[in-house]
Amino acid sequence: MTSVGPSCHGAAGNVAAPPGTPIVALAGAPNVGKSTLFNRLTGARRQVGNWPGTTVEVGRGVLTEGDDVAFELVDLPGAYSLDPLSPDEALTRALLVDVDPGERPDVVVVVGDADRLSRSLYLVRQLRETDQRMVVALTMGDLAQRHGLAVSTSTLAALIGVPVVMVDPRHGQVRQALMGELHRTLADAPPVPVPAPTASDTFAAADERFAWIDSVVSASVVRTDGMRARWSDRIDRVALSPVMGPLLFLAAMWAVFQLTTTVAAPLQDALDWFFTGPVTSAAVAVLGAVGLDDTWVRGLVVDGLIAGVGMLLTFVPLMAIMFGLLALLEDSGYLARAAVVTDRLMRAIGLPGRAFLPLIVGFGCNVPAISATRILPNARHRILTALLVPFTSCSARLAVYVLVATIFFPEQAGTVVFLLYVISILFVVVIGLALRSTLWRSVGSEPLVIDLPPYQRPTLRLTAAVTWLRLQGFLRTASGIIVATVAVVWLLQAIPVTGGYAFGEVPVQDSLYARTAEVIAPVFEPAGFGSWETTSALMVGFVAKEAVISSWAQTYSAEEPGVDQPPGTLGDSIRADFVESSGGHVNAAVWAFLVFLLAYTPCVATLAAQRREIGMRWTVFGVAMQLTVAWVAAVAIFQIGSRLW
Amino acid sequence: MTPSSQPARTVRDLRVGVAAVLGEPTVGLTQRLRLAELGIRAGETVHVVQRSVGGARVVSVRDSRIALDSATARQLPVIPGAGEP
Repeated sequence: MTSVGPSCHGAAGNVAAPPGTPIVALAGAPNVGKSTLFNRLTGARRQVGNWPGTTVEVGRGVLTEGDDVAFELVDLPGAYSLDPLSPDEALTRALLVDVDPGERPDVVVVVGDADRLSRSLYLVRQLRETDQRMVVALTMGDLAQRHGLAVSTSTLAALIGVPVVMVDPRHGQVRQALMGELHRTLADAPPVPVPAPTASDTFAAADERFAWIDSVVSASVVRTDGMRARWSDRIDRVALSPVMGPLLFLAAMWAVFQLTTTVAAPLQDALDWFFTGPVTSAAVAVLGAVGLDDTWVRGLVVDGLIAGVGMLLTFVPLMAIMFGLLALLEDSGYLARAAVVTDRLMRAIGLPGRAFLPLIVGFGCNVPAISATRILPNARHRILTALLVPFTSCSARLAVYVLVATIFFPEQAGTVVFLLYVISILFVVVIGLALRSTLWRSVGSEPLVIDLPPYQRPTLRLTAAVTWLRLQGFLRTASGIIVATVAVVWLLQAIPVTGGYAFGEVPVQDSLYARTAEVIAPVFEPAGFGSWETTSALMVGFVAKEAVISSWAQTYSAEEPGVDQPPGTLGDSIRADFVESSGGHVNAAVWAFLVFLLAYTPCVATLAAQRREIGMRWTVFGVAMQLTVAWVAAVAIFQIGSRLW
Repeated sequence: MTPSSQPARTVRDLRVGVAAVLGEPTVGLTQRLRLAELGIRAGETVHVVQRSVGGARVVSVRDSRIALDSATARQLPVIPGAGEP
């Protein structure tokens, strides 16, 4: 069925649930373990995607009994109530209340927190004012017990009029407890609605609901010792302290940054070696055995497919470490504290505090940083942050900075690189302010009100499951775009346009690639680096910034310098090129080039990650913005600088 | 800052560890409803458990810890004398 508004039925995803399978929606406030329960029920096998027409992410999966699909599960965005304050909450309301009754889920499982029961019951009460079939699943029972709270599920069920089950998705099995209640609830008649509040005023109506909640909680929860052990408070004395809090946060971010880049680096190098070494050699040997060694097929297989797939897979260690660390921070409860500590700083550019994390990670690699925007619950914050991340200067750009700075400013290379990082931060702040004052005027005005979850010891199984789930999503989305782009670049480099070469056996300067660079090069003349050689390096840099240096080396037919080695003849060639293209204003042109390199599209893998997180429309907008900002800044630097130098 | 000899007027003025009874929040309507959903509403007893960066406050209400920015804490009046030591 096609409906105009959002619907739980047949609207999105391609989950293997036969038609007519009952749909169960998971709803509940943020941080109550809803997604953990979803992952546990579905075995972390789920389709994740934006709901049609929105940027709100909704997970879908199936709940099986033996080999049969018993229920289709929909993981709705977190919502405290049916009175939405964000697009995520609006979607939850739309799917539960605003759609036609026939389009609503067959059963709603409201996931609640036994440790903070009253918090979870407002949504329950609002849904009880409808005839929606419902089961309440209480998590955090272990925490409640530790805090001296005994929740009577039978009393609670009797008072609210729907089944209540205790579940522990972080540690135990949950299917058996929930499955029986779901079948019983489906078989029973819909519950008789609780009378809606009599007051017409919103707050008077809310007060009536709160009075109902108070009576339910006081009858179903017994305090066994009257004192709550609050070791979370003791940790927060440090984690949220005005002085120690920011220091601890910076230490945590430094650890994330270091682990992501330094631990992943040797693994990335090993994978890179594996693909450029043994895999390439094996492919060449096989091609030689079948007589295709000296043909264009070798180029397609080695420079196209193996290079593309190899590049994708070199990101796997980086992404796995990043996703694992994020899952640990999230599961422990620290991310909510990080949001408090950084809120004031980030609010200046219209972002909540926790947006600090993806931006910091971006200085290591933009790809996991884009994926890290998922920690932001608000879709608009996710989009804004994902648009700003490419302006954080990743480590791949560092290699080009060092080479160029060593060639042109050998005595001040370190200072030049440092200044580029300062410029990167300025870009993030200025563009953040510009976007906030134009596209997102209302963003950033939201006050900080965060329900701080108690700290928990992260579970290895949950961390691994979340990491694997996110890694799968990245590989699924990124593989196509990366392999396709690398193949297109290879194709352009394989097609001869001058010199009478055969397809696939043409030097780069005689290829369609060089011709394309010649066509684009005049665009960069106002910035002082309008030569085809520099332009072609920037074109390759669109695929990956690391490739800028190898492109130069290939173009100038020079050896690529090793790490910590002088640039040699390659440096001489690049210098001569800049001298010619800048009309003698070399320093201005080099600075313009470096700033362009910093600000334009980081790499195709970042685009793939953006497309996954914020959709194609915003990704295209981001590319246009990056190219515009980079070009305007480069031209301004050269035009002003050439009058000074 | 409110001198220690004067009673606190808002949650922002409360000292760490001090409990107080909330008056009607002076925030906007939607924000007021969200605060109410989190248990921060008139008549509720809260106490400040932590001061944080930029004047933010962490308050304990019922069984929860809620972090509030400085501006929001200023818009949560407390009833003079009620709940304060």
